[in-house]
Amino acid sequence: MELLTDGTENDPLLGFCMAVISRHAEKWPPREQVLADEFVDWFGAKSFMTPTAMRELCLAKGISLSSVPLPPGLHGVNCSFQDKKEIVISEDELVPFAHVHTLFHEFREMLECVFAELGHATLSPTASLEAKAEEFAIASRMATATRELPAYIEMIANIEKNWQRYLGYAFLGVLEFAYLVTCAFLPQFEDVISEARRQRYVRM
Amino acid sequence: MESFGSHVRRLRKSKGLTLKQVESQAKVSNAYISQIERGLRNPPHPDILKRLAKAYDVPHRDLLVVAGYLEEDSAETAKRRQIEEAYQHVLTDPTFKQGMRLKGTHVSLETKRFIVEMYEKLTQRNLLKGA
Repeated sequence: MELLTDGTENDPLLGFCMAVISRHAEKWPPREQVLADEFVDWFGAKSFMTPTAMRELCLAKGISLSSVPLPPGLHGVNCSFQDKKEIVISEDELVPFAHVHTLFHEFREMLECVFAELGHATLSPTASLEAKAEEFAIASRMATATRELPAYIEMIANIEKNWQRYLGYAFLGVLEFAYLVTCAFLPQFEDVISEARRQRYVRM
Repeated sequence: MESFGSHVRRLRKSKGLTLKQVESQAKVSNAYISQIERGLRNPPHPDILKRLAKAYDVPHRDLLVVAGYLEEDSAETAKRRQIEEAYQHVLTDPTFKQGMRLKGTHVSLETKRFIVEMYEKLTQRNLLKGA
């Protein structure tokens, strides 16, 4: 018996892109938020991911992830050649969670290559992939946080004492707000921190 | 070869700095920097270049070479050229796709070298030959 395959079993990224195209072909290209939601579901991303967890998730999608010291100013790199796909992210990030942001950014660039190969590029020739990838990374991190929120709310709702429950809600609210702010303004935080470092170096 | 003025102008733009910002960081008047960039002044004294190099976050030696105070080491030049050529090869190879998250738009020689090394690792081809 001859098995007919479309190659997606060996290339999860290709499979994901084909599924996204089939779901959103009528309204192509999808907004970055929509793409981010699809991606977070597929990738299984969490708000708080250790480097090991990130490596395992990537490996499950056929992508090798490593974290090494990179040249100044370079946060991450993605490369594809034939069936080999690799992402390298900097191990010297200045801002917490920047490694997750960079990972999502690199994924978005890889996705665009596959979309383009499938004849469904999401960018106009003049649009910047860099800017779209930043937008996607922010949207993906926000999507992970909002997906986990109901589970935390339910956990707090089970607390018996009223004052402890209210304190739990307040704490969760503050934490969620702070997390979303760091998602939305991470590139700006990076600029501010690296500029402050550079100023200190210039004064030395 | 690129003039000193246009070189420092390109550096400043790639770092997203204004003349005023360079002035405050390097303690060099913005009018003077502007004149240098437009080629109205000769490259400044090496001491000033040292302060500019820190503001632009590049090695002092690089500015000294572009300003003509130092001869670029021929081995260094050859290595630099080899990396540049290898990087161009990587960018034009349709079988190899790459992207990066970078601060600013200037791709440093070090970054180009890293991309070429990634290319070599994935394709099993040798472009740098010991550079």
